[in-house]
Amino acid sequence: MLSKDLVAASSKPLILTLLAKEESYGYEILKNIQKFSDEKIVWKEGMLYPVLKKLCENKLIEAEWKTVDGRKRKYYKITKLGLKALDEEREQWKVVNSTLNTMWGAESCLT
Amino acid sequence: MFNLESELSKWKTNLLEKKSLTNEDIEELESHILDKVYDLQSSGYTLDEAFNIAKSDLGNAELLEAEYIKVNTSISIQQRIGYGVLGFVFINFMFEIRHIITIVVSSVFVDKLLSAKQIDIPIISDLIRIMVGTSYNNNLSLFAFLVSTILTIVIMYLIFLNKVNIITIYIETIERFKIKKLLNIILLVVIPVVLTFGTNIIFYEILVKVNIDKYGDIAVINGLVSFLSNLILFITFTIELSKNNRNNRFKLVALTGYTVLLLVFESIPISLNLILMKFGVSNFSLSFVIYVVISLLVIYYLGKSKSKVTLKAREFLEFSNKRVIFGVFAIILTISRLVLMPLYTRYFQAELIGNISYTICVVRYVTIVLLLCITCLSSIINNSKFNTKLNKRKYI
Repeated sequence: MLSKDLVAASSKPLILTLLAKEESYGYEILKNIQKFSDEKIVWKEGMLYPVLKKLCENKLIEAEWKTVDGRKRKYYKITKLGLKALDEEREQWKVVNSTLNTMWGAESCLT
Repeated sequence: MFNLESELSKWKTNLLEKKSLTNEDIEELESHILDKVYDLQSSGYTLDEAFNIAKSDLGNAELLEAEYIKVNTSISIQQRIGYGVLGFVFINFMFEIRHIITIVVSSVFVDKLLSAKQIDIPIISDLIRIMVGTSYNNNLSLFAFLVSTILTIVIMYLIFLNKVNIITIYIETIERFKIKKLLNIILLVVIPVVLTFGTNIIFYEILVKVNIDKYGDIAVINGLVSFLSNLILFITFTIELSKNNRNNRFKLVALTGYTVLLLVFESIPISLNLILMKFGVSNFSLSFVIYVVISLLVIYYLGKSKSKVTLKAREFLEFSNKRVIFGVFAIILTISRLVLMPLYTRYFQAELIGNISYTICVVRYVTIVLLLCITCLSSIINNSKFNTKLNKRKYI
């Protein structure tokens, strides 16, 4: 299980990455995150929707109600601003990732 | 036998009581639950089990409220002031239209009304006589009262009709035009200016044509109906506040704006005037100074986004019980104005009242325009600050 802080920090890039592939709705987003993380990232379900709403407010994603196969759902898709934000996020996470890898790699060499 | 629909509606009713969730939020959560229920059913759970798992995985109502309150309060203080001022301009504009229509309609029938037999409707005539005092003129006053009241009912209906309410339509229409910042400012500033000054020009054109004596009678009646309608408006407003419904937040903010600005621009100066009159020092230039000082103070405090007054205002608009106290305060002030009105019309000469109301109009509209400019400018400044912050972060 991820810590609370890490869940909060990583939800934005995770959601944006999923929506950059294709538009989706809340329940599907949750399921996809579980699938891609091998069930290691499991969000509190109630947390997702306010996060989506926040992203909408910041104009990173857009929402639209659609009826597909007789089921009404709120679909989200990424905006241009969202794609830009995702690029920034990607750069930042890469920096953290590579720094940790280098340091941890060096550590294991020392021992 | 487990009934999904009735269980769902029970769950929804429970959520509806939570103030921070809008109807749309609940609808989205409902669609989530349905998805999960169908999923779980297909992996072998009974409907009953599936619903209970879906419900508890989503989290209980308290938890959901705590999550949603973080996002649903984020309407900024500048936006609130902007909506508030827009609400004030809009409601004020509708009431001014009422004023003009009443004058026009009444003055058309003025000769017939005065020559006809005097009609006396028990409670209403008494009420008018008490409020208006010496300038009471049976048929004309009664007629103006009825016209004004009918128009008020129409306006109230438009403001408070929940499904299609006119304030939300007005503000959302302006919101939709937010394509460019400049256009936004032009719309926010020009519309109120055209509306208010435009109606005033028409208003004075009509005044010239209507016999000034008769105008006095009608205007006093209009004043009476205004007091009563404001009272009703504030009572309804207080009820709305206590309901804490987030779906109507535009309307709520607009009404708050109307209440605050009406109190600031009318109740306080009129009360001050009455106090000064008690000491025999009331005159035109003094009341002008009072209005200017009060207006400048309002602009100063609302313009400072971190001033204590704005922070307090924000506290009120967040979802606390204090807001109801605010509504009750407005009602009490209006009632006190209602009581003060007979004094006001008796002690002041018509000419003086005319002068003072003209001053109120001018200062009030100038203030509103300034407030709108400040609102727009500060939101732009805030945005550009935000943007440079983002850019900085990018290059660090």
